[in-house]
Amino acid sequence: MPGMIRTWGLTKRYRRRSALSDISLEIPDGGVTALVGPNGAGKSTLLKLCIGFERPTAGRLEVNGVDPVRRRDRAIASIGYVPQTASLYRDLSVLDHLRLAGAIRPGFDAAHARERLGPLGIPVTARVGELSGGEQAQVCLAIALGTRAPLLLLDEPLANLDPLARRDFLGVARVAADEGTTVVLSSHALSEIEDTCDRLLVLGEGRVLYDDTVAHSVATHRVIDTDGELDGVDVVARFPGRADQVHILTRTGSSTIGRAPSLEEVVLGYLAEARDQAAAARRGASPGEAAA
Amino acid sequence: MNRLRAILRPNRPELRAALILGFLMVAAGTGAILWLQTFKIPEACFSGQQLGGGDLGDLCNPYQAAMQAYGEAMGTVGNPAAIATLVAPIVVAMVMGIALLAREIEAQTTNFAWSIAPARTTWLRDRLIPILLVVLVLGAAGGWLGDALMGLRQRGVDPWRNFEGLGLRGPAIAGAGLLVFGVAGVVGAVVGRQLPALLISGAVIGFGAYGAFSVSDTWVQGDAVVGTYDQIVLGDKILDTLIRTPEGEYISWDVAYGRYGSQLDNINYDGTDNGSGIRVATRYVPGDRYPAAVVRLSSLLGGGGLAAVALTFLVVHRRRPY
Repeated sequence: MPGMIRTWGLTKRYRRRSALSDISLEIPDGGVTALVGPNGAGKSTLLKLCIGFERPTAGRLEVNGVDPVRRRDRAIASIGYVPQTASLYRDLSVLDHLRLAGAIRPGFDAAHARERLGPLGIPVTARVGELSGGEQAQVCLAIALGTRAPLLLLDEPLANLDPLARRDFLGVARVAADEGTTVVLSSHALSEIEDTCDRLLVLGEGRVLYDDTVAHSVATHRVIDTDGELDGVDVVARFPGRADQVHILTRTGSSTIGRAPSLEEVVLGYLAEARDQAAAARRGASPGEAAA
Repeated sequence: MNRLRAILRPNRPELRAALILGFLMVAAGTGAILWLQTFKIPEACFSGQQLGGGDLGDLCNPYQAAMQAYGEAMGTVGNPAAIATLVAPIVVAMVMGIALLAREIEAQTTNFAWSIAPARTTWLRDRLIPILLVVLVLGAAGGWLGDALMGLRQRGVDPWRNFEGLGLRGPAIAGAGLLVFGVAGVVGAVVGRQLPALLISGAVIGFGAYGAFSVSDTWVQGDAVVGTYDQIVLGDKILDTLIRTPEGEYISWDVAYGRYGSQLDNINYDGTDNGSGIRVATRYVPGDRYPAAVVRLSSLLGGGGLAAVALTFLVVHRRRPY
């Protein structure tokens, strides 16, 4: 089955700063893919390239088999998008937004969107400006779901939400994925989305650091909670834990070594590896030496 | 209809303001026209040369007080109403043009709209056409009222045979509204901020209007004819006076002074010959050339506006929504 999102040598530069550098990836159809990485890793840029808000500097990409640069209209028809900050009309009611979406998006399912809002207790007659940040995010998500698009791009929607609103939001996203929608959820707070996602895509310094399913990621890594020399173990990186403890992420599925990692530890390990490689590159040392 | 209402819902405040302003403009213009028409003064009395002379003097003398009141009414009500018919459509066009895109991009609501609408150009077209119609209808109404008020200001002269106020009334107002709306729209789309867009649009519109009026003026001068002063009637556009030599050549006063010197001191300024064969002539554009002139000027202004609208589509297609 072809990937819902595929890129080949995708590069995006803003003047001198490189947001994405020659990345080739494939996000498969279905499930929730967590797009994680630190601020500036290129997560938002990747999503904006998918929806045609940005144009690649080099390389190309496809969304549901369509190049969003050449056929933006067809690409957008496949996408429901929730931006980082809810970009709704503050003076318009929720109902006005649903009507507007219905007027400008062929096939928009307002009833489906209202179904999503109903259990959350968000009145459709309320002005958006009177809603909380969490409620606005929910409205954005409901409208994105109302598009009935096969792909849902959620660009750090949790950043401004309280814990309860985050849980509600993620619950709705999970249900959408279970109903067959492909959900790509970008975040830099992995601990909160760990239970929701099926796949992990780690971006750092503009490139893909790690890409695998959650189950496989946990099964093929172990964490050792001591900072010492390790022989015969494929070390990803050392990374700091709580209380000044140093952890070591290793590539092994052997249950005799260390303990099973959390998803957050897998991400931290690969981010630390990228950091070590960058430091080694600055010093002129080989990445292997840096990791050791 | 419901679809149109939904699409225009984000612009409802401006549309309401436009309709209110339009209503006030029509009310002010119509009110002024109706009031000025209540002065029961014979049309012939408004002909300045004939006033107070011969039979007309006998006819018009009883209306001297009424005519003075009419002049005052024109100054206090007619002229302000004429200004309103010019200003209201321009203000509405500017507000609508800025709200169309600069406000959307500044508020980042384009993030929402452009992620929902498959084609941005369709989204823009669906909003732009009804708003543009409002601007054009308001401009046409303002222009029509302006013409009517000109007809009352210079009684006895057909406003469509009168160069007075060319570009400040008639279809030129609709053309100017289109120019203002188009420029405000495209500048708003490029800049994406309301206040800078307003300031830049003002400057661009100023230059654009200056250019259009300059070109129009050049064309109008191409329609000029030369005649004697007594051939000129109210509504003609006088360009300059010349000297007609005994040989029938028209030359400027500077050239004439160099050629004839003090002979010019004794010439008749009414264009008759004083015996020297040298006459004063006037270069003017007959009032019947006004329809062509106003259509050309309106087309220039409107054409600039349409070009700006076309450019707006291009910018919207290309730019980021933030």
